[in-house]
Amino acid sequence: MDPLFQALYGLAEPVTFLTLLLSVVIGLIIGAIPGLSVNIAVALAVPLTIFMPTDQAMVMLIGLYGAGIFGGSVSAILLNAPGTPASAATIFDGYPMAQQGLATKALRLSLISSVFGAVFSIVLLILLAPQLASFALGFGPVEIASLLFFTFLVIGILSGNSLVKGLFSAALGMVLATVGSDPMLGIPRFTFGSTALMDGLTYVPLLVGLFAVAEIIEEATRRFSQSVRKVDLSGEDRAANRISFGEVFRNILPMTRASAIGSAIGILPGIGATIASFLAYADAKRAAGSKGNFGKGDPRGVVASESANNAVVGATFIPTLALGIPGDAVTAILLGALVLQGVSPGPLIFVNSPEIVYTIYFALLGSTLLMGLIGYPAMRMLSLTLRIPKIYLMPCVALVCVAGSYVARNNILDVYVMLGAGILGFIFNRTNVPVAPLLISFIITPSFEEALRQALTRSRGSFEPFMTNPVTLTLVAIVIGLVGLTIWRQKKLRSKKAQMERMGV
Amino acid sequence: MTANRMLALVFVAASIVFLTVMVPELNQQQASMGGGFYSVRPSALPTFAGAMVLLFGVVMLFTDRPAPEEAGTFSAGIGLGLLQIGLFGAYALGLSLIGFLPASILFLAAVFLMYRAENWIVAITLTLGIPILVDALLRKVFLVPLPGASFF
Repeated sequence: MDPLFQALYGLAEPVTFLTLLLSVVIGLIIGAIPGLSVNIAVALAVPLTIFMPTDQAMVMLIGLYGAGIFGGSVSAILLNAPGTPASAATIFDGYPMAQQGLATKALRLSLISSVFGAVFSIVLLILLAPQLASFALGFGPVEIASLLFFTFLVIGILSGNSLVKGLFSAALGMVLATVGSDPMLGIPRFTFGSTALMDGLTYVPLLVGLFAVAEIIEEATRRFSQSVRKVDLSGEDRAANRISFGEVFRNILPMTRASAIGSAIGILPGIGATIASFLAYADAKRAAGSKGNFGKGDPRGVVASESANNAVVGATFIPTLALGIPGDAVTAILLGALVLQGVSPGPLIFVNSPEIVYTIYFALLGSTLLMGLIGYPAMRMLSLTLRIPKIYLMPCVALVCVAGSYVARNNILDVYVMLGAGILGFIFNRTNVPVAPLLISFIITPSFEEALRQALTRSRGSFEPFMTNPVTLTLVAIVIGLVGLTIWRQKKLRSKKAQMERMGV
Repeated sequence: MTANRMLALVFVAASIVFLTVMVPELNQQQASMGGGFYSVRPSALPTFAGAMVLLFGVVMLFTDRPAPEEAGTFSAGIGLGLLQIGLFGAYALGLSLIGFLPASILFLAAVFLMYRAENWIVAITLTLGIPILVDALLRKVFLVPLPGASFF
C-alpha cells in the first residue's frame, strides 16, 4: 500500500483516532493547569507508548504537544500565570483583556491564532523536511558527527540566559549518555557491575525526573497550593466577546509575521516556544508603533504570542525528522519515543519508514484541527481546571511518575534514576541552569559517538577529514558567529543593567 | 557562597574524580579485554565530555555574579522540598519491600498528612482510588509485572 494511504488508514482506525481525540483533550487540560507543563504531559505519556503501535504512540504524543501549548494560554489569560512557559508572553495583553471582561474573546483569539500558527508551520514542515532530508542523505560519518556536535553547541549556546550554563548542562548530558555498553566494542562503561546499567541510563526515567519530579519537588517547597482559584466567565458580556471574521482578517498580518518568527525559531535546535513567543510579541509591538495598546489589552499581543508558540510545534519537527536532531525538549522526548518503537530518526526515515513521516504530518494536522474544534466551545469548561488544588493533583502525578519510570524496563533501578534526575532538575531550575540541553545532548550523544568513532577509525585517528570538510567548516563558522553574538548580547545586557543601577532605576 | 558556585564546585570535584579515577579504570578494563585494533578508545568520549563539564564548571565557578534579587531564592522552602525527596526515596524503597500497591497507598497517605490536605474525604478517596486504579490498569490491561504483593 502507498505510505500516504497507509498513514491515513492507520489514523482513521477507531483506536488511533480515539487516542488522538483523548490526547488533545488531556493536552488542553494539562496545559491549562499552571505547573503542569507540556513537557510533563509528554514525559508522563511516553511510558504508555511502549505498549502501543508506532502510529498510535506518535498520535498520542503529538496530540498532547500541540494542545498542551495552547492550553497554557488559558491560565495565562485568566490567572496571570502561564500554564506552560511558552504562554508567558500571552499574559502581557491576555490578562488585561480578561480584567476588562474580555477573557473569552482573548481565549478565542488565542485559539484561532494557535491554529493558524500550527497550520503555517506544518505546511513549512511538509515542504522543507523532505528537501533537507534528501540533502542530508549524502552525509557520511564526518558530516553526521559534525552536525550532531554543532547541535550540542547550539543548544548549549541558545538555551537559557547563560552560554556557560547551557553548555555545562549539555556537557553533563553527554557524560550521562556514556553510561552503559560502549557502542563499538561492547565494553561496559561506568556500570559499577550492574547488569541493569549495561543498556545505559534509560531515557524515560531521566525525562520524567528532569521535568515532572523536579516540578513536584518545586511545588512541595510551596506546600502544594491548597487554594481553589475561582474563575467565573458566566457573567461576561457575550456580544462583546464574540469574534467577527473582520476581526480575524485584521489580525492575519500579525499572525503571519509571528508564525514566521515561530517557525524560524522552531527550526533552530534548543531555543523553543518561550523565546519565540517573546520575540514575536516584541515584533508585533514594534510593528504597531504608537498605534498599539500593548500591555493594556491589545488583541495583537495575544495573537502574536500564541501564533508564534504554536508555530514552533511543526517547525521543530523539521530538524527532528530530516536530520534526527531534536528542535526542543518535547521533540527530544518524541525522538526518544521513536527509538523505543524501533524507528531510527534521521534522513533515512523518509526512505525506510515514509508511513511514519506521513503519520506525523497527519497527526499534527489532525490534532490542530481537533484543538480548534474542541477548544472553541470548551473555553468555559477549560477554565474549570484552574480550580483543581495542587495538594491533590501533584501527589497523584508523583505516583504516575514512579509507575511510568518502572514500566519502561520493569526495573526498580529506574525509579532511583528518576529520583536522581528529579533532584538534579530541581537544583538546575533553582540555579537557572537550563534542563533541555541536558536531555537533548543525552539523546543525540550515542549517534554522535558512533559517527565520530566511525569517522576516526576510517581516518586512523586523524581529525584531518573534519578540518577539510565543507559541511564541518560551515558549521564551525556558524558556531563562532553564534558565540560572538551571544557574548556581545550578554555584555550589552550587563552594561545596560549597570547603567540602570547607576541611575537608581 | 552562592548556590550557583556551590553547584559548580560539586561538579568540578565530581568531574576531577571522573577523569582521574573512573576513566583510567575504563582504559585498564579495555586493555584486559583486548580490542586495541580500533584507533578510538571507548574512553575517548567520556574523557571529552568530562573535560567539558570540568571546563564549564570552572568558568561558572569564577564568573557567576548573582543578581541581588536572586539572594536566598535557592533555599526558599528547601525543607519541604527535602521532605518530598525523602518521601520519594521511601516510596522507591517500599516498592521493592512491600510491593507497588501498599507502597503507593502509604506514599499518598504520607504526602497528604505531611502537607496537611484540607479535605480528608478527597484525600482518602485519592489515597485508595488512584493506586488501585493504576495497579489494575498496569497489571490487567498492560500486563506489567509490578513489584511485590498484588491484591488482584
